[in-house]
Amino acid sequence: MIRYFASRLAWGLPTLFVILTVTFFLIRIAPGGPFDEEQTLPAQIKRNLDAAYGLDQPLWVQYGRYLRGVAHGDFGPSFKYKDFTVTELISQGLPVSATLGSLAMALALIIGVLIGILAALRHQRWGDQAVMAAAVIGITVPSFVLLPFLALIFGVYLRWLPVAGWEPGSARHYVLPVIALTLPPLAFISRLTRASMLEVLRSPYIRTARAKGLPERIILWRHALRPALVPVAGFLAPAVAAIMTGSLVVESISGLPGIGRYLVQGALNRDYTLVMGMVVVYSALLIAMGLLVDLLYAWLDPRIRFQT
Amino acid sequence: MRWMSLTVPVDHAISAPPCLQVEALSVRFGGGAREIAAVKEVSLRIGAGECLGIVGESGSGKTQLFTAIMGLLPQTARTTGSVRFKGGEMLGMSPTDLNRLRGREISMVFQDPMTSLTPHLRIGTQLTEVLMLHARMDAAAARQRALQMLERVQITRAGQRMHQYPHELSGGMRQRVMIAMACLCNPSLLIADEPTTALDTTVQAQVLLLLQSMRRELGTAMALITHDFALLAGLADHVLVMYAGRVVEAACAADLFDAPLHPYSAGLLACVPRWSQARASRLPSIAGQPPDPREPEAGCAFAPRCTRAQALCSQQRPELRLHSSSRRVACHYPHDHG
Repeated sequence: MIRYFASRLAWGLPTLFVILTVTFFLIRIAPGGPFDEEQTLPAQIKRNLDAAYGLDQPLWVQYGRYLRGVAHGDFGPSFKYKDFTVTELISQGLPVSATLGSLAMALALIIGVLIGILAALRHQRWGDQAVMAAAVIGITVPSFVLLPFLALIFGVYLRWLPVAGWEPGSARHYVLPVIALTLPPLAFISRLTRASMLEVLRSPYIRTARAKGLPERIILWRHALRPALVPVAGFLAPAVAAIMTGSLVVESISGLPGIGRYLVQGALNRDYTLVMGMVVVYSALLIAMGLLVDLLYAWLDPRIRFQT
Repeated sequence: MRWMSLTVPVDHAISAPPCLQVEALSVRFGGGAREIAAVKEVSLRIGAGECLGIVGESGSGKTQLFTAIMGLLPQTARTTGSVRFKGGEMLGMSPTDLNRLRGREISMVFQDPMTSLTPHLRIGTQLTEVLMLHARMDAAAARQRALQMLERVQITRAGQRMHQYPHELSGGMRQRVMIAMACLCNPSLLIADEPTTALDTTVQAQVLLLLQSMRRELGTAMALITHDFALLAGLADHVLVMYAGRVVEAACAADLFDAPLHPYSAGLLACVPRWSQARASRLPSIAGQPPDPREPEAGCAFAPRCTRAQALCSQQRPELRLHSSSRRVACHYPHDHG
């Protein structure tokens, strides 16, 4: 088990390296550069800027230099946010984004699984059908529609919560963005849990558990829950990816100073180093998530543990 | 007319209610035009310590019958009739009361040991939870008892097995675990639903012997459900033959094997291969398919496949009636072994 985990961990680094390399060259292929503005810079100034940032060097030299930097934890200076290094930008925004994302993920998981179980237990009664109909709406309405709608109701009409914006240490500013980010994956997780729980409850080993005279409570929590969560674990990595991309939009609508905006703006501005830094952060997070899911699988189903 | 008379000597029957007494049990699924009757007016009786064999093809309702008796049918099923265990009515019992019987007084061994154990729980957990629940044992005592039981069903290195997961055990081993699990609380009745169907032939014999010896030692009554007549030889005291949800013949095992009355029983018996048969001869089989349970019943369900069928058979359904002192058959023209 530990060896398996170590080998998966060891594979994470080459994966990250490949992603890094591909992104590095892809963004250079894109037309334009960080200093292409609407009004063209004088040639001499452009040359000086390129020289200052090392852009006049051959691409592979730049690549080598960048790799060396990353290996030492230095993601380089931002091309657009003058006076800031990429590391500074990310370490400022990451806590906000991480709070937003992990709250949304945790809520979606806990509430989604609970709703799914309840719906499965009320199978084909109106409670089940009402919740599942609501879940379809939750899945189909994207965060960027949901958030303005929520802001309108709770911010503008009811005045319970701030419409947008952010103050350091303020929990109230997180509420609406977190809800908007939570609902789509929550709805999906609840449907997933319900379907797999229904299947598990029909399985022969649950019949055995009933034949043993076990009370429903024990059957549900001890015998049925873990196998029913296997598909949910499989959805975790895509859910994290969805919350990441969702947070790009939600952060910019609600004005939360997270890192989401850096990816979009960085890409538009050809802010090479910033985009690379964001890609490293996001990929590392996804790779770590994949590892976590593997561990989770092993815990949920011992048959997976031994197929290493 | 009670079929008490044919199971146990009368003096026994008076002293105590039978272990299991089922009267006119029917199981229906769906409603209206799409209603399916899986079990139709089945009555049976198992005395203390007796073994009743239930034989029939797939779909004859034998599994549904005992699933209904255990109260394990899905909520969409409607069960009518009466199931009395040691005199107490089980149909309509509250789940709490039912759970007091299941696993303690009545236990069940299922057909497929591969899927009938919870995959993510250790064998030990699955065994001890029964004892901790029903016998109110603490973890240590339950573990001790579970170990004894595993050894009792001839599982080697029982201590190690307790820590293993079901997928680490072979099929025969898992079925032994199922049997051990079923016997933990010394049940009065053990229902074995095709316990050997999923196993290798060599393992089949071992499992059957094990069931037999458990039954002898613990004095457990047993219902052995199978599609294979050969399994019942030497095990069952009495046999019910089921076809299309109904009992078509009920007799003492020896009588049935020697001289089956119903053409279906005779056909099933003829299908059991024998060494004495000439190599070249084809194995006999019963032509045709069982009836579609959605079709309305008209006459004898077996008539379309029956070699002895006459005009009456497709018009009037034969009732299960007393044939001789100890046998009952539902056939207009039973085999005559006079």
